[in-house]
Amino acid sequence: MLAHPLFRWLQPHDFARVSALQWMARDVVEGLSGGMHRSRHVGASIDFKEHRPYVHGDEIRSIDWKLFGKTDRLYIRQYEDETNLRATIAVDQSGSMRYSGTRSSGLTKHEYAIRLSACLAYLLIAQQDAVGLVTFDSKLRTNIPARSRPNHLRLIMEKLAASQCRGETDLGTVLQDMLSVCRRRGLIILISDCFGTMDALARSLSMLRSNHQEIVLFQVMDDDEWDFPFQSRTMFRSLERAEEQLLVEPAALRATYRTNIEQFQSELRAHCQRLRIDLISARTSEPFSTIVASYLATRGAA
Amino acid sequence: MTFLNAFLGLGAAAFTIPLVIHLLNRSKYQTLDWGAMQFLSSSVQVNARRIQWKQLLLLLVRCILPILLALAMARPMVLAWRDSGSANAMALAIMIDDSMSMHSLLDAGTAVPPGQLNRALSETTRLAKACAELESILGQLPSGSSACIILSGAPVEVWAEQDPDRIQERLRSLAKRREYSGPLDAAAGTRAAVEWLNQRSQSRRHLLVVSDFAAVDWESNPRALVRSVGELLPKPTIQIAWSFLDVSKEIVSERMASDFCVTSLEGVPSWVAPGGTLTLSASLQNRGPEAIQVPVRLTVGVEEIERQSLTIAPQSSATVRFSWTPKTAGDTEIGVTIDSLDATPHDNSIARVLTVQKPIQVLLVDGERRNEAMRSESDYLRVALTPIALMRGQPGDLFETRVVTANECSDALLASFQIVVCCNVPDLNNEQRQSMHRFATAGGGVVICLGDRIQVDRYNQWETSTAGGLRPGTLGPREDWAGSISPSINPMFELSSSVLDALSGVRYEHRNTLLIEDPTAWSGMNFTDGEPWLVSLPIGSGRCVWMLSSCDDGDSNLPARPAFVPIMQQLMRYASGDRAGWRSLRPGQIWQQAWTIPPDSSLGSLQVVAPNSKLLEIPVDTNGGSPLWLSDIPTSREVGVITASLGDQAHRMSVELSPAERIRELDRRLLSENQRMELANELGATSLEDAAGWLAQVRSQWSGRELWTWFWFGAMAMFLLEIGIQQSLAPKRRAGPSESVQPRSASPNQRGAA
Repeated sequence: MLAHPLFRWLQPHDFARVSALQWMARDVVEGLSGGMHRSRHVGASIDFKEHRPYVHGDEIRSIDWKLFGKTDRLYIRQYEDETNLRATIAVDQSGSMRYSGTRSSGLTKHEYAIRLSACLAYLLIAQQDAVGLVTFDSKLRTNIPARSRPNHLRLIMEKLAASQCRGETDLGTVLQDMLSVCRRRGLIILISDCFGTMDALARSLSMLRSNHQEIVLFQVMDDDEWDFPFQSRTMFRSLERAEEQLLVEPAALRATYRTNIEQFQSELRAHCQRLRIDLISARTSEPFSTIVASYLATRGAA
Repeated sequence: MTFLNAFLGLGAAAFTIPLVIHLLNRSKYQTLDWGAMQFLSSSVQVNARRIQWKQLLLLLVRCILPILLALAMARPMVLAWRDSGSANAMALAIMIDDSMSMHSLLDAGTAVPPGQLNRALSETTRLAKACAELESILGQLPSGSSACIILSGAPVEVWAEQDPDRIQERLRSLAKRREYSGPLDAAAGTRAAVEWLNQRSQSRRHLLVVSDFAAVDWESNPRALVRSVGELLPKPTIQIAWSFLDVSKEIVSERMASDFCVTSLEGVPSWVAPGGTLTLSASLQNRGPEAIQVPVRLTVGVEEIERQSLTIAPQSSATVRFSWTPKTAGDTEIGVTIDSLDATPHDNSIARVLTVQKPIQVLLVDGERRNEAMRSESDYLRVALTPIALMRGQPGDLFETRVVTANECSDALLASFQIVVCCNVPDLNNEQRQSMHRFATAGGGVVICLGDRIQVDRYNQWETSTAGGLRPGTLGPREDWAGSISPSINPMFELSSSVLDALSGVRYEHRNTLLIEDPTAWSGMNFTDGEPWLVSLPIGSGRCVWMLSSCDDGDSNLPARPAFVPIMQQLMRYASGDRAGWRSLRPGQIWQQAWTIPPDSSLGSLQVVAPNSKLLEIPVDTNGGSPLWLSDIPTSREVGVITASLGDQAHRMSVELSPAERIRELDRRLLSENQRMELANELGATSLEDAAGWLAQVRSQWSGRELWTWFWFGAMAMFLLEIGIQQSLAPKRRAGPSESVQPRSASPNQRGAA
């Protein structure tokens, strides 16, 4: 059990905290087995849905005889079916996720994303839901289909551990590619810093949503990227494009930088609100389990 | 500018510290791998140019800051007096002596052989030197100062120009002036200066007296000056700093063998008619150490009439006589000049104006004619008008007289006379009165002297002047009255003070009174009780003068006194409307000149040319169509000849010193060094020799102005500016977006780590 790769990312107190949580699908989902989430299919269940007139071929046992006694007509009593959730965790492994700030305890954004992914995968598989994994930078790099077997978690952890940050981000293209991966209704958990073109990102998210996918976006950022605290003259080298570098006085640029990033954040928030996407801003300085617990508590209350 | 702590100024070199830090910082930077380049790139694009400028400005401010601090600590001090600001502004009254002695030439300062002494003279006068020194002073006064020039030769003139440049311009003009003013009136000049200073707002008030300190001007003046200043300083808090600027140091006269001057010019007789001969006598003086033969010229106008050569013994006087026969009547400028080179060229000549006039024909109508000598009514008057002819049997009198009775008066007889005098005539018939009225209207003079034979009732039946007659009012009866004449100077008389003083001994026993009813008539001289003695009534172009006493000794002792001659001659000249003889006024006196205004004439203005060639125009006042206009012409302060012209009429007037004043001014002695020191001590003044000395003295009271506060404020301003620029470059603390997870600010130690 100690050799399980999950323990590389999650600490015992993380397990203790996450084990008590449940991830409930907000929309109806299409699962292959029974579960705790509402299915789009009608089936055997204790949750009454509606009456419909009897037609030839319906099972006699499903006739509501009490209603026949009252109305002298035959009605079939229908119940909601319940199934499991198909969740796909999409982890950004572009170069920008390699940044590690001074307040993140040496944790890069990518490592933080892996820990978050592990936490979510553990949580979902523990509640019998199917979990898949997609890693991407400018294109999809890893695609593990969703499974609900416990051993599937090991595969996901191994793939995450093997992933390396490199290349540029093209979130718009990647999300469009995910349409072919996630054909059935389900949940897409997108973990990324979302750096890139806002229009392409919004367009792709919109397409995913129109494909009946519920999307939860964890935007992972470092505190340094948010408040830009640098004082001394600095050469900034791009983590995504090697040839791009800027020698600047950070103090002089701070105000404009903050304006730019706040404007970006504001636009992203507006798009997510419009598409009914949960946007969770995660700082690498904060424990991911706290982020997840806080989010699920908010989600459960909604 | 100087520094009180100059070595602290070396701290200005500290400006290199921020410069070096800046350069080192530019070459040193940290490298950081960064993910959010998209936000950084756009920030750089927006701010690159602005940040670059701000960085440069910040560097500049940081470099200036230590420089200003170092300069402030070095305590800079301005020593340039003119740039010291309005805090040192002063009021400066400058009293310039522009009397005759100030026109002496200065020594050229070169060594010359005895035969070429003329080379020892420069072309600069003491006055020109004074002006140059004052220009230098005025050009260096602190800003906000005001200055006033008082020309203290009599009469005193004040130049209180607001613009110092204008004063300097007038000083340059004064330096070129060759005409001198009246004697120095130091008391009046000081009074004007102190009055002007009392009106200034500046706390620093200076009075600078610029003079050559001629002995005649200053020997008797200090006490009057002190008294004058004491009267003018009611507020003891007002302190006026006196200074003497002596411009007489360069005396060339000692090196010059010749020093001549013309002391006076007189003529015998005192008047001359065209064709007559006038003997002119000029008194010359040789003040030099040697007897030198000098040429002396007589000029009339610009024409040289006669030249004589004269040898005058050293330190003695001589008289040179010229004969001159004028050809035409009129005011003539006569000058005598010594052609000699000396240090005082201004006193080598004299110019006066003489009116050439034909003898005035006087018809004496005697109302009590007797054969005995001096028993006729007109005898005293005839003697007074023709004393030379009667006493010496020679021509030379201004008047020619003829005695007739009243019955002989007619238009034909009057036509050949200019004045008719009725002496105690009992009455005039209507025809006689009309003849006299026509005579006066045409420009003649009618003089009516009363007496014991006149019939007052008949006189009062004459036509009044308002009705075209000769009578200006109602005549009172002859009365017994004991009194005298009240002397006064008026346009009717130009009498010397000795004559006027002599009138005080005149005693009257009888007289007539006259109640003046014509508003155009006026009393020229009164009895001591205020009743009129001489009444002038203008009639047409002439005038009628009433003398309310007899012209013989029946009413008073006046005819028997010497003063009777000038009074009667003056009265007749006034009655005739003419003034023959020498014409002169003192500088600054008003010249009253009668002008004939032709009917329907548009003469424009009276043109007056002053001795310094300055032109003055005076508008003609015809006084409601009167044919005569008595103009008041302000004469110049400078000695010389004034020419006034109105249409084709022209008159000249000599502005000159009185003989006594001229002789006094010709005294070229200066105060000795001790006398100057005593004078300065008495007035509490500082004695100086040039403008530089005065400036140095005044500046010595001003130790300079420290400027460290300005540098300190400058450094503070730079410091605040540096903070401002820093703030503009520093991050603005804003609240983060309302998110599920709020961003947190970096702690200082974390920033340092970054």
